[in-house]
Amino acid sequence: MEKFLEIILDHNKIWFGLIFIGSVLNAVSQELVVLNQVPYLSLISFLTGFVIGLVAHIRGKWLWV
Amino acid sequence: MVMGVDIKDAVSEEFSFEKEKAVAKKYAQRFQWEMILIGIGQACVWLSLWPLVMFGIIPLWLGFVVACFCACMAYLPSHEAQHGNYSRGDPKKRWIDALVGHITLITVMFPYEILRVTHMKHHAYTNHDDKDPDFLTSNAKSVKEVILLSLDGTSPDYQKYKEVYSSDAAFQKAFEKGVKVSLAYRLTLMSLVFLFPLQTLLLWWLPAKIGVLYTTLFFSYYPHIGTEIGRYKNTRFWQHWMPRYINHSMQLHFVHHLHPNIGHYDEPKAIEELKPFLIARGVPGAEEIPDRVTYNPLVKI
Repeated sequence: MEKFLEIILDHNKIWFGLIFIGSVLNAVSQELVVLNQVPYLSLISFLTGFVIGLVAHIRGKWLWV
Repeated sequence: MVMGVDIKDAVSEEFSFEKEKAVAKKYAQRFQWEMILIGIGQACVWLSLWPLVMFGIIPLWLGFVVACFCACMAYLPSHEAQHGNYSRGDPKKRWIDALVGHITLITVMFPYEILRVTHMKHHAYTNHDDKDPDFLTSNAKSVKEVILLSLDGTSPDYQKYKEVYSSDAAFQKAFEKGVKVSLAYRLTLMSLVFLFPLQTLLLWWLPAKIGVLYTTLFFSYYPHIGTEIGRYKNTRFWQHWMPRYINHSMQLHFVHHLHPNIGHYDEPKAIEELKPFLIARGVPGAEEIPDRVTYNPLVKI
């Protein structure tokens, strides 16, 4: 259990990107009328969040500090 | 010796450390009820925003503005708790420190125990590049750097300081407690954002970021610009265009580093009386301290 938790925490930026950024992007995109016709909007939103998190995980930082 | 510095050097008996301490002690007695009110009060206001926004009683943008204000007010009550300024050494009142310390920090999603132990190390090793957990932000090169560091969220690198203080059992124990709280915050945030994405973003995550940025800028960066290592040299008196109630009177932060037990709202009076001691000790900027610290004497345009 502890090992499992450790693995999850080691990848916290990826999880944050996928769940937090993905959820926010999904909610924002649903509000934007111009994106109404775009297929797989939720999938694209969560995928974008995941990629942002993955890049941050690889870089070790979110921003260019 | 205090914090590795010989406090007896080159100062006349009139301004001795013992006399300075006696003056400071007078202002380190009062019960800090205002801080408790601010800490618990802002947390309650912040919590009430959720149902108010969810049920459409107030718009989300208004909730965001109020949440940002709450987040900016969140740290200081916890800071007093970190120094035990509610219990003032009375073991029966320690629960007040813990209660206020934990509750007020919910708004900014920070674990009290981690902040408490790292803040104690900041006091003990201010401006030591390898031991001061605030070193990165308090010695940043510019406001822009502080903004980037705060928003990035990877500063201070708490994991690094867990390793630096690996032989300090009390530090490790408190840190472990804090990690659990931090994890609980993370899980709550992730659950909430999945259910209420925009509300979680604008009522919690973004206000917390703004609150942490505000705190880092005024509590950590400005008071330590250009300062050195040493009890009387590691924090400065500074002036700012902003009226002091908007930046939590952090122009006076140096007296907190000298005597952390002085209550925040008692610092102006303490400084008035301590001014000759501070000048004698060469505290950076001490000559510019006004004789009377009234409502807004610290503004400099």
